[in-house]
Parts: sequence; C-alpha cells; structure tokens
Amino acid sequence: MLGALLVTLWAAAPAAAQDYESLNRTDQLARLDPGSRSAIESILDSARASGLPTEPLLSKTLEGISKRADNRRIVSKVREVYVALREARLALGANASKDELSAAAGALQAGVPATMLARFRSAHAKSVTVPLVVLADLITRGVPRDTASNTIMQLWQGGAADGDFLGLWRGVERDIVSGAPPAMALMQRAREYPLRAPPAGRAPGNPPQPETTSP
Amino acid sequence: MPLRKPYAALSLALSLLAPRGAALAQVASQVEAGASLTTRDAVVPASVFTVTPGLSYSGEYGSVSARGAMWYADQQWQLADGALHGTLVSPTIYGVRAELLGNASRAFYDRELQNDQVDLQTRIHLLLKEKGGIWIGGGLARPWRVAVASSVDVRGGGAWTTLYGATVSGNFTNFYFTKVAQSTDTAESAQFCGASTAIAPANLARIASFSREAPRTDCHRQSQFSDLEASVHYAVKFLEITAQSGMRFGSAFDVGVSSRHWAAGTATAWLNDRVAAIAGGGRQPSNPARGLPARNYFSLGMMLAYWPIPKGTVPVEPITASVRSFDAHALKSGDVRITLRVGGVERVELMGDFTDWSALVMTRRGRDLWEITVPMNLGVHQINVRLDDGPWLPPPGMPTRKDGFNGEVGMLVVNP
Repeated sequence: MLGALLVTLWAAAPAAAQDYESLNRTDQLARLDPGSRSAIESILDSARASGLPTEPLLSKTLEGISKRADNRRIVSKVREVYVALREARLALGANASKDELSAAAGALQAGVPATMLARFRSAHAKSVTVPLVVLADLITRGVPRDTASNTIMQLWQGGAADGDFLGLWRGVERDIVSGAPPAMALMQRAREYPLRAPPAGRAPGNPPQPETTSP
Repeated sequence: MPLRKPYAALSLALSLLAPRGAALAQVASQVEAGASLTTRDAVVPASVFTVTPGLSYSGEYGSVSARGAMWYADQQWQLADGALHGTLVSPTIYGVRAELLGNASRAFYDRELQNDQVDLQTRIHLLLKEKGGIWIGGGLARPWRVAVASSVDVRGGGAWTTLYGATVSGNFTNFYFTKVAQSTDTAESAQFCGASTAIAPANLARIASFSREAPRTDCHRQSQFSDLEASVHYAVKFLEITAQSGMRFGSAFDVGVSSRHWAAGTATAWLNDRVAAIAGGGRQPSNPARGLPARNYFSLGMMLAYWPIPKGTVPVEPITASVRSFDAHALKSGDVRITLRVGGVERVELMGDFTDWSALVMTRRGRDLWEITVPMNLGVHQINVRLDDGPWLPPPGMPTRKDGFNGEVGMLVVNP
C-alpha cells in the first residue's frame, strides 16, 4: 500500500513541478498591465491551439518585463516572435524541435528568407539550431544577408558540424573586431574549410574583392 | 628587465578616486606586507619585513602603475624598491597592436647596493586567433649609480598561448651595453682589462659618480648576454599560481655561474574577494646592467586589495570589453557552472531564459573571477550579464541576437 502510494507520488512529482513552474511563470505576467496581459495570454492561447511551443513566447515576455520594457513594446515583440515561430514551423516542418524553431524564428527576424530555412531542413535531418544561430548573428554583425545565407548553407550541405560553425563564428567575430569588413571576414574564414566553402566570388551577394595595387 | 619582487605581502585597502568619464578604465589599489628572507653568495642571509603600497590605472589606450616598498631591517624603516610603469597601446588592426612602454624604477638590495633606471621600449604584438600571440620589440635602458658607461640596448621577442586554462609564455631578451669592468671582478676581467686601453678621461668623472671610490684598474668592455625565460600562469577558482624559469647565455665575463639558470614561483590563494595569502620563492638571476647580484628568496605574506568603481561615471565604451572571458561547463549533476573574468566591478549579475529572466547575483572567487552554478538543459540558451547595475549585455565569445528591447542577448550553446 505504502509502496503504491510512493510510486504514485514519484510519478506525479514531475508533472506537479511543471505545473508549479508554469503557474509561477504565469504569475509573473501579473506585472503587466491588464490589457497587455490579456494580449499576451491571447497570443499564448493561439500558440497552444496551433501546436506551437509557448515557452519562447513566455520567455520573451519575461525578458521584456525584467528589462523594464514598455508593455506595448513587449506585446509587440511577443507577437513578432509568435509570427516568426509560425513561419519557422512551416519552413522546418512539424517535427522541428523547440530549439530549432526558436533559432529559425531568430533567423527570420534577422532577415533570412523562409525559403532558405526550408533548404536547410531539406539538406540535413540533423538539428539546424546552431547554424541558424550563427547565421542570424552574422547578419546582425553586418554580413550581407545573401552572402551569409549562402556561405552557411554551403558549409551545412558540406556536412559541417556545430563546432565548425561556432569556430567559424569566432574567427569572423575576431576579424570584424580587428577592423575587417564583415563580408570579407566571413568569406576568408569560410575558406579555412576548403572542402566545404563556396568558391570565392561565386556566391550571390559576394562582396567585390579588394583592388590590389602595386607598391 | 623587470625585477621580480622578492617579497610578498600583507595589505590594506585604499580608497582611490578615478577620473570621470572613464568607466571602462580600472583603478586598483593594494597594500602588501610580509616577511622575506634573501640570501646571496658570500653574504649573510637577511630577513626583512616589507610594506608595499601600490596602485594602477588601466584605460583603453594605456595604463599607469606605481608601487613602492618600505623595508624594516636593522631596527629602522628604509625606503626600498619603487617602480613607475606606463604603457601606451594602439588600437588593434588585423590582429596587430603597437605598444610603447616606459619604466622608472629603483632597486634596493642593501645600503651599498642600490641604483635607479629608466627605460623605454616599443613592441609590436601579433595576436594569433584568441589563444595566443607573438611580439617583437626593443628599446633603451639608462641605469644610474652603477658602473655602466652606456645605455643598455634591449631587444627581444616572445610568444604566448593558453593551454588547458593556463597561460604559457616564452621570451627571449638580449641586453647589450658598455660595462665599466674592474680587473678585480674576475679572472677574465683581469686578463681583459690588462690588455685593454685605459678609461677615457671624460668617463673617469662619470665613473667616480657611480661609486664612492673610482677604481684605478677599470676598463671599458662591450657586454652582451641573452635571457631565455618561460613562465606559466594558472588561475583556478581561488588559486593563482605563477612559475617561471630561465637560462642566460653569454660569455663567462658577463654571465656568472650563479645566473646561468634560475626558477621561481608564486602562489596566491584568495581567502575572499579582498584578502589573499601569498607565498613565493626561488632564484633571482643577477642583473649585470644594474650591477645587482643573483640571490635566492623566500617570502610569505598577506594581501588586501581593493578595486573601487566610482559612481556616476559615464561609460565611454561598451563595458563588455572588460569581460575578458566567459565559460560554461556542464556538470554531471545536470547543472552548468558559469564563470567569467572581469576586473574592476563590484557586482555581476546574470539572467537568461534558464532563470526565467530573473537576475542572479554571481559570486566573486578571487581577484577577477565570478562564478555561479545554475540548472540548465543542454541546447541553446539566451543569456545576459550585467556589471554594476549597468545595461544587460551579451557575454563575450558567443553569437548574439537582438532582443527587441534595444539590446542584445548572447546565444549560449551548452553541450554535454
């Protein structure tokens, strides 16, 4: 009898903890004004109804609250994330993980077209999370969208691993900080993966090569 | 060649004022005190009690530091070693950076053995990726109150890298100068001086000013020697360890047997964020350019340090520049230990999607190490850090994303 009770409690504990966590997070929405809270809850309901993860939306809400953002701005940003998540799932498919959807939503918000996301998914079944995180960052740092998208895509198609993308990002970031033009930095660093990088100057949006002058 | 301090310290905090508008700049102060035992060949071992205040200012384009030492020996206090250092740093372009270094220092071994020196050097650094670099440089040093009749030409180069969390460096330095040798110095000196010309009259007065008794059997000699030195610095949690070892190359005239090889080490254990215990010891080579002999030392002491951050200053640069490193390490417990190194701040907070964007205060572990352990699933997480109630910023070393609230978040990838 006691054993059965313990087993029941053990089984129920995670669900109870999750409920408590969810309740605790929802309670934090009370820090929003009633209108904004209602708007956020409406977006969360829509996400649940369409089978999208609500965690990125709730996370964006809590982030905005913690950063003391204006309530209307928080609602606006959460709505943007919702739309991006919906578009990301269309591009990546229903089996995409929460992390993948969140990364894809970030890439869409950075300007990556949805068709490119679909190409990432069709090229490989493995997680697209890290390549898309790196891609969104590169665009944010000033690499032209097409240059960044095509370079990362070529590496992805070539079988680059998460570590390769993070290594590429480190190199590019360092070069940009050192004064290199962002597009040039990416193209040069990508050549460190000779079997994977696109041929120089052939990727759409590739920046013109610097003119060389004789001394 | 910088003198290794042959003592450690017990310290006191100092309050300092920092210039307005320089939040990126860091001001640090400390007072060290401790006991030191030194031995030299053919000299009675000496133990002294030392008190050493010091302060430094580091900005974006340079730094200045000063420190002095008071020694208590023979039942009286003496103003002993002192040094003033300044560095100007150029912006880094394509991994290349230039530095101009100037030093003025006073070395004090005892009442009969002390002198002063100013030196100026330039260096070119080439940063190789983020885990190493090489440099070459050269300059001049001008010692006083020592029998060196010329400036000391200093040329050298070195390389550094990080291995398993430790910083490893190797340096090669060549010293070239005209020495006023005495035939009584060594057998080689006697032979050399016996065959050489006498000192030029113009230099006699100068030599007389170097020493109380100008020797009559002096001669000029072009001296040259080279040092090859390797050092390791390892900081883990509250412990910092520095070890160095070196070899000296040169003729028997310039390099005595006692300075052909040397090694030394220092361990600093931070008891809390202000107090540290220090122990050090080893062999310090001679410095022929300054007439200082080799010696052994052992020291034990305490240090109290203080890094005040003035309120109301306006950052002139993103303060993330001062976060030197960020590391996240997944533990077997399922938690992730996050550490970052940032100096000159009083408070570091962290938040992210894994904390439901609630700010957590990180714990200081030593001089500039901040640590926190948080539950975090594997995968990609969004993260921000905040220094001294400043803006929320992405940590260095990871991709970022705009947060939609006029800021950015770091995208932290947690692997098993």
